[in-house]
Amino acid sequence: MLEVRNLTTEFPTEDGVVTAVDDVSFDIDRGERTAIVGESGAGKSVTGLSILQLVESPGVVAPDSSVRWKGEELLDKTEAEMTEIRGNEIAWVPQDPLSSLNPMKTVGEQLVETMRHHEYELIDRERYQRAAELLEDVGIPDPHDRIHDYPHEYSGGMRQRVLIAMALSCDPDLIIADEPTTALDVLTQSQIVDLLLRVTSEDTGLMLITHGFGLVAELCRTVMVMYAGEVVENSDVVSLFDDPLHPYTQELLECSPHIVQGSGLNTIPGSMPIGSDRPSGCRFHPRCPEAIDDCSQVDPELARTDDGRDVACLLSDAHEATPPRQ
Amino acid sequence: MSDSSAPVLEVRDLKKHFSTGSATTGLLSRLLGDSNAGPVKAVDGVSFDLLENETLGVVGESGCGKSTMGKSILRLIEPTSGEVRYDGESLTELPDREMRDRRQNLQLIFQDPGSSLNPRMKVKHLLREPLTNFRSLSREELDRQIDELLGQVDLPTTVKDRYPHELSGGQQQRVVIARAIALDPEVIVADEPVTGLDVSVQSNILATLADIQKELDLSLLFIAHDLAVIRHISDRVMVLYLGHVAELGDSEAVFSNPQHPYTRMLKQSIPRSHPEQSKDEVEAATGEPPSPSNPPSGCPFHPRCPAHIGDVCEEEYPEAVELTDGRTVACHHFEAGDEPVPEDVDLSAEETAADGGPAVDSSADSGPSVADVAEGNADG
Amino acid sequence: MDSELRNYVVRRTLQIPVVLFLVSVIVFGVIHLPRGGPVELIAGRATDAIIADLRDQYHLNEPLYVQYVLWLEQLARGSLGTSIIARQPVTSMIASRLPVTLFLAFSSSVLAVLIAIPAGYISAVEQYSWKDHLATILAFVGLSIPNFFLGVLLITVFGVKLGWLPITAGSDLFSGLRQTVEVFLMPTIALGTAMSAQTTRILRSSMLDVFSENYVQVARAKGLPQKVVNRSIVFKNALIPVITVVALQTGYALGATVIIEEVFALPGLGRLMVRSVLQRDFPVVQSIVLFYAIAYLLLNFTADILYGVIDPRIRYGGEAT
Repeated sequence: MLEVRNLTTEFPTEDGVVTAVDDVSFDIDRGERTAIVGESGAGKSVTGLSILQLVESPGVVAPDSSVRWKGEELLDKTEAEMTEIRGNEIAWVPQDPLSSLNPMKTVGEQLVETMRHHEYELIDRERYQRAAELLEDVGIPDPHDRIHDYPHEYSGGMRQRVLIAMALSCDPDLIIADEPTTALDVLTQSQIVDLLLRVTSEDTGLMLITHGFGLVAELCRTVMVMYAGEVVENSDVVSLFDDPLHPYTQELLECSPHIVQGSGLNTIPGSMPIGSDRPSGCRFHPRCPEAIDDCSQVDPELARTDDGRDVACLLSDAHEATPPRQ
Repeated sequence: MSDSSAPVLEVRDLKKHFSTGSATTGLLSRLLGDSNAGPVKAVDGVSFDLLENETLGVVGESGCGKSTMGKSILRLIEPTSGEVRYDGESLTELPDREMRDRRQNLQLIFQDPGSSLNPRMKVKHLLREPLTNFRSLSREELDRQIDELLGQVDLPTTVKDRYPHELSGGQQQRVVIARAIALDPEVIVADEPVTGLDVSVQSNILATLADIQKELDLSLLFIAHDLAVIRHISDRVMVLYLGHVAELGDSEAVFSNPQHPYTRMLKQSIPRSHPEQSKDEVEAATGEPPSPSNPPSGCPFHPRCPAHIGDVCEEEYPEAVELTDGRTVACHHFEAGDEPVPEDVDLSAEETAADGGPAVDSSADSGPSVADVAEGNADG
Repeated sequence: MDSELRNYVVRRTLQIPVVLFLVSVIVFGVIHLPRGGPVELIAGRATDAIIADLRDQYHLNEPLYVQYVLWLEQLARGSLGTSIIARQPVTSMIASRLPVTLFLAFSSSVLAVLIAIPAGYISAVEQYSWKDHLATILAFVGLSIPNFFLGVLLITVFGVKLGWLPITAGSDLFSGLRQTVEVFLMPTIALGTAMSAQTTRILRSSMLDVFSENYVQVARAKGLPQKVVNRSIVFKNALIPVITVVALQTGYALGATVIIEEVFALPGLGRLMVRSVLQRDFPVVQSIVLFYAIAYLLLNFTADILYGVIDPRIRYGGEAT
């Protein structure tokens, strides 16, 4: 359903052009749940925004990029055409529940305005009815009363549910969730994870943007790891956890306290390069425990292994094999 | 964790209540029928010891009072009642000038480094501040100390002349840590120091904190809501719920075999570490954390508790009791001297005696329900 | 939702009597405390007997607090006293002039808002475009020109040179629509354009602030077109500071009519006030100051209520769960 090829998004700054997303390619099938994992600055949020063409100016998607949705090229669409798709076919669940809701409109109004714009249901009364049903689906108690409440009358966890309800309001085919649990308590996080599992299905896929592997094992079937604007590994979840191909993936997994139980939490020296200040060759090589000489010269492309996983590392078997799916 | 470790901090029945608004708005609110106008009991009777060289993790959801507790211990917020003793001496009764003196030894690290560092001061001035406040050192000595501090937190000396906004989140937090250790403190209260940081940055900071603790022989009160992090870094852990201590004990013991129903619920909520890891079909955490201004009666957890016994949970607050493995639990299922219940035992057995839970003797095996075991015992 | 608004209005209304009381004390104090008393200067060349008589008549020999209570009693009876100079009840003097001043102040305010809303909106939405720059320049010009200067300028051009509009007002200003417009057009423009500058700027900067809020991006992510977002979300959410400014400005306008009325020779409260101050006609001065104070009070009260209507967080006193 979603085919992203050579997506590149650049931001001109005083220090030069920053390539936030650098030649990223991946697919998402109908109903698939996939994760994009990357630390702050890796380019994962910008990838999501680029798909929806919501990148804030002066950021711009490079002309060679391609984002095909249901066979049509999104980057060729006009703004008016994009407004038909956003919230309707592809929905966005934003990060911070408090600042992502309009404080001056009731929750009901905010749910209804999306439906009204996309002409979902015919009259407002039906839309409000559906809004109440959506609130109930996402687990808000007393939905028919609470629909008239304002965002500040909801708790953080409930607001996040409202955001999910808003995304569901027009029956989207794909939900892009940008760090949906970061601002929440642990118990609430697990409730939101359950909710996301419930609302996605074979018709509604999920692209989960997250900065750690925390939710990946719970929610997703496939996962893509980004580092400094590039995809370094793309694989199904089980194989990634069992046998990470890229050294960064391995190192990162071992830094996660809930994955590595017991003592001995890994640390990665240095920090991810942000902005235009990137090392030559493989961007991870200065911090990579397995780097060889060539790593500082060549920036490896994503290559496909025999079992269908993609990895961008000179040391992998895949590197000699066929190039990734085109 | 030997018994001979003297407690560095002793906290006894610490309480901090906030009154909502002024007297007139309170009166007006009640006249107009506003039900929420009560004092906010952020911390409502917390007692524990912090031992030498140990890391005590404090975990709980938002509203449980962990942040307020941390600040109250150091009297950055004045406690409403209760006592805090440092090295045997009462802090809560200390006059301000002497308290200020003690602050050299009791430091606090806040959550958001961006807002705890003065954006107008360069790093070297930020680090110089505590040193000039409490020590009289020559210029060269100051500079040397600053370089040394930066080295201890793994920062290059080039950051000295930078402003906080020019540093990354992880680097900023290191500056905060460096500032906190500048006076060689004995206790550091770290309030969510790695929340909001990326995973690899987080692990770096945790490693730095662990190194610092060893080097300086200090005790760390580590407040966070990420259980995995707490489990990783703490020797002992304290679970807070709505201003009360639910459970307190050895970190591994509490996490591998949680006793309090809330701790069990928390453990269930930790995301799985592998996609194929099975998860017990337990009921997902229910409900929302309650508001500290309108707490439930009796045990504050009772409205959400899957192991709810009956009226006693609604009427009486369960006092903390000590189990045989040294941990304390505040739950009506337990009495002093009980054995910890094995993890797979379902605490929600209905036959548990309403007068305070079963007494489990040491011959209990895992498998039979708690009720079954209770039947075979003579209660005291 | 409605009950919260009701509570909020009640709370605000309860504050009014308290403030009114304080205002009356201050007004009274300002007039009566300074030495020399109000009467001496009026009387001037009058004989001592007349002065003593006047003092008696106006209870000026009583202690201050007694005078204050007497004044309150008088107000309760609905009387504002008698003018020393004109020997007329103050109430009728004010009543005949009040419509002029009120009309001028409010029409200037309305003009200011009518200019500022579109100008500020366009400036914010098309930031840095030529329209934005033009509006900014005009705003600064408007802020910099003193309104009396603008008034004189308008009279010179449109009254004297071109003869389109009358230079002075006749006696009966509201007799017909055409006459009212002719009389009030220039003064309104003089006063209103300067006020519009400030409101334009505040609307612009407030909208720009809202643009950078997360929920605006989220609205676009829902598929709402930029135009709808601008109108239905950004503009509405930007209004709070604008309300403050408009309320304060209307209050300012009430005071500024003093100058404009002089320039355009309009028989309003402002001119009466100036004359009375110069003549030390304290019953009149006291009453007019009281009137202005109450007007400010009501303006702020209205602004407060409007805040509560627009921003639900204010109604609830900021109680978030």
